[in-house]
Amino acid sequence: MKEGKMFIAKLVSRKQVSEETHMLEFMVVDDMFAFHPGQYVWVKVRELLYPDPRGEQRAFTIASCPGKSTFTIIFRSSLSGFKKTLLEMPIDTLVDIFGPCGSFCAYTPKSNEKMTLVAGGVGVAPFLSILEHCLTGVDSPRAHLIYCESSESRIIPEVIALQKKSLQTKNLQVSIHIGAIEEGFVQLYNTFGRDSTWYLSGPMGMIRVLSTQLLSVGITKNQMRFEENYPYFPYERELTLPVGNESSEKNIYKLALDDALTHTVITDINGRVLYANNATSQRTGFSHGEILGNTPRLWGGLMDKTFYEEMWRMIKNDRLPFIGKVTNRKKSGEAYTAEISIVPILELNGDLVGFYASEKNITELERIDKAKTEFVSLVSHQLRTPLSSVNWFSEMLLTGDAGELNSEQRKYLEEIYSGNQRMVELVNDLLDVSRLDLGTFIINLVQTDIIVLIEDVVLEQQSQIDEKKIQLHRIFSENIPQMAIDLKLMRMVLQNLLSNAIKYSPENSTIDFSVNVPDGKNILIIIKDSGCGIPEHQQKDIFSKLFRADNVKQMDVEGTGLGLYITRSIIESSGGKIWFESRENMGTTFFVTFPLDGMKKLEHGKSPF
Amino acid sequence: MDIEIKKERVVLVVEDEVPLIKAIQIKLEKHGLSVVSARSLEQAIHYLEDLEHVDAIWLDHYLLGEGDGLDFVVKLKNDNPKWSSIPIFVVSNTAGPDTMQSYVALGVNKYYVKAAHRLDEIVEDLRIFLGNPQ
Repeated sequence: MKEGKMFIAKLVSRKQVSEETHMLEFMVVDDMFAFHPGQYVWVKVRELLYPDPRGEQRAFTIASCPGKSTFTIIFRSSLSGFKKTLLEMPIDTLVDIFGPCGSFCAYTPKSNEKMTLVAGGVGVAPFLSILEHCLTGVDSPRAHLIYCESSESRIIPEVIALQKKSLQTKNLQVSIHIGAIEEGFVQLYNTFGRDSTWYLSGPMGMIRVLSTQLLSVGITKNQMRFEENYPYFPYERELTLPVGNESSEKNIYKLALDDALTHTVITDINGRVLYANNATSQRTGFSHGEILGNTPRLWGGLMDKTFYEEMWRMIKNDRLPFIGKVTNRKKSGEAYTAEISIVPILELNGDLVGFYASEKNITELERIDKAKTEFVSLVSHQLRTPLSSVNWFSEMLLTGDAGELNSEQRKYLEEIYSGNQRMVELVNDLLDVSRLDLGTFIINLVQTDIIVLIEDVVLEQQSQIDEKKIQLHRIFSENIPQMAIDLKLMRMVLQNLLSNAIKYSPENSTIDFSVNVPDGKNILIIIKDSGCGIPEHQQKDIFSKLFRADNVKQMDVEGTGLGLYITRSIIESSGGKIWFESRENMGTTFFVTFPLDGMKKLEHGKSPF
Repeated sequence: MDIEIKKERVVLVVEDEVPLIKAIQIKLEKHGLSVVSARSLEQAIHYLEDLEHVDAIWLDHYLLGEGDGLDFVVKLKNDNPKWSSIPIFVVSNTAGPDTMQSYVALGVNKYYVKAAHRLDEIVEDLRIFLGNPQ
C-alpha cells in the first residue's frame, strides 16, 4: 500500500438516493485531508450493531467531495450486518478511515486516448474523475461510459447527471445497460473498435466475464485496465452466498444445504464462517448467531499445534483437500471424535475464495472398534491356557515322561504338538495386533548397536537358514552409530522380515542383508531374497491384516498373515518407513528406514491404515 | 561314608489353572523337586506361613479370588524378611508388557510367557538356579 493514512471521521449525513441505494457523508475530524472522487477508502466501524461474518470494515469508492475533509460514499443496502450498521448508526458516530487508495482516480488520460469505461453499479465511482477530463474541451480524450445495472430503479443519480452532460459534447458518450452481460455485449457497445483502452470497474465476477469476452473479440490484455493499488484485504474476494429472499434458482443450493444431514460449513480464506447449516448448529450445540463470523475453532482447536499447521499448509498453500481425525468439543463441553474434511473453494481462474468444511462424528465407530479389539485381546488371553496345557502335556509325552512311545504314537503326538504351536503363534500375533491397535505397547528406548541386535536375530534363525542351505550375505557399513531403539519391537520387525525372507526362499539361494546410512540422517536396512516374490496385483494388500498372497497359500509354507501388518504398524508409529519391491518368482526386497535419532514413542491409538 | 544331607527343595507353585498345575507338578517332581501348589494369593500366603522353608516360587499373574501375582510379590518383599529373598519365577500367559515391567521392577528373578516356552526349559532353568543335582 503506497498511499493511505489512518483517520477518524464522523457520520455527517445519510440519505437514500435510489432504490436500495444510499449515500453517506463523512467528515474527517482529526486531520485535514482533501479527497478526490474515485478514490477508495476503507471504512471501519467501531461497533457492529449486527453481527457480520466479514467483519467491521469495507472499502468504498468516494463518490463526491462536498466540502473540506468531507467525502461521500454510495452503496447498495443489503442484509449484511455491516451495512445495516451503517444505515442505523446515529449521526456523529465515529468511524476509522484508511485511505485514500486507488489508481483510476489518479489517472490522467492522454488527449487522444479512446477509452471505453465499463462500470458495474457503484463501480462507476472511480471513473468520475476520469470522466471529468473529457468534459474540458476539444482536445479532451474521448470516452464511452457503459454503466451496467441490474434494474432501472437502482441507477445512481451521478450517472444520470453525466448522461445529461454528455449530450453537450462529442467527447463523452454514456450508455446505460440494464441486466447481465450477455454474449455480444462487447460488439454492441464497442464504439471505438479495436483501438480503445478498456477500463473495467465492478464486481469480480462481472470483470471476469467481460475480460473473457473482450479477449474472444480480439481485444488484448494490454488494452485492458483494472483497478490497481487496491490494498489486499481478506474480504476482497467476496463469496456471494444466496440469502433467504433471493430467487429460488440461486437458492436451491442453500435450501439443499440448510437441512442436509451432514454438518456443512463454508468459510472465507481465513476460516471465518460465512455459512453454517442446521446440522452444524445441532451437532455442535452452538447457535447460528454464535457460529457466524467465528471460526470452527469455536468447537475445535483441541489438537496439537502441528496438526493445524499441517492442515493450513495443505488447504491454503497447496490448495488441496484435507481429511483428518480430530477431537472436538460441543458447547455443552462434551468431547467427541470427528473425521473432518476441508476442501478449498477455487474460482475458475484458480483464486482461492474460501473453504468448504464438513465433519462426521465417529465417536461411536471408534468405541465399537475399540470394543472389538479388546474382545480379540480378551479371547486371545483366554485361549492361552488350554494351549499351554496341550503344549506341555504333549511335550511331556514326547520326552518320554509317561513312558516310551512307539513310532506311530510319536508321529501322531508330533502332529498334535506342531498344530498346537501354530495356534500359539497365531494367538501371540493376535495379541500383538490388539496391543498395537489399542496403543498399549510401552516403548522402552535404549541406545543400541543395531548390528548386534541383527546378529542375534540371525542366530535365532540360524537353524532354519542352515536347513535350507541358504547363504546369508551381510553388507554392513562400518561405523553405524548407536540409536535409541526399543529392543523388543525392533526385534519383532527384524525377526519377521528375516523369517519371511527365509520362508519364501528356495533351497540353496542367497539372502542379502544390508545396513547403511545413505544420507547421514537415516539408517537404511535392506533384506533381499530371491524367492517366490509377491504377485503384482496383490502387492497393495501385503500389509493388510490376515492377508497372504495366493502364491504362498499354495506353497507348503505356514504363516498367519499378521506379521507384516504388525511390522509396518511398529515401524510407522515410531517414525520409520517400510516399502518393498517384488517380482513373482524372482524375489522380494524389503526396505526399512529409521531416523538416526531413534524410534519415536508410539502414537497412541490405531496404527496407520 | 560321607552322609550327605540332601535338603529337599520345595517349590511353591502359585497357579490358578488346574491342568497346568498338574503338568508343572509332574515335571518338577520328575526333576526331584518337591511341589506345593496354591491357586490363590490367600492360599499361597498360608503355605508360606506354615512351611518351614520355600526354595523357589513359580508364580502365575492372574489368580483365583482376591489379589494377583503383583500383589503377592509386593507382600513377599515387604511383609516378612524371611520371604523377601525367595527367588521368584513368574510364568504367565496373561500379563502384558507393562505388567512384565512392573514385575521386573519389583525384583523377580525371571519372567516367562507360558505359551512361548517348553515346560522342560523353564524347569531346567529353575533346577540350575537352585543348584539341585539331577
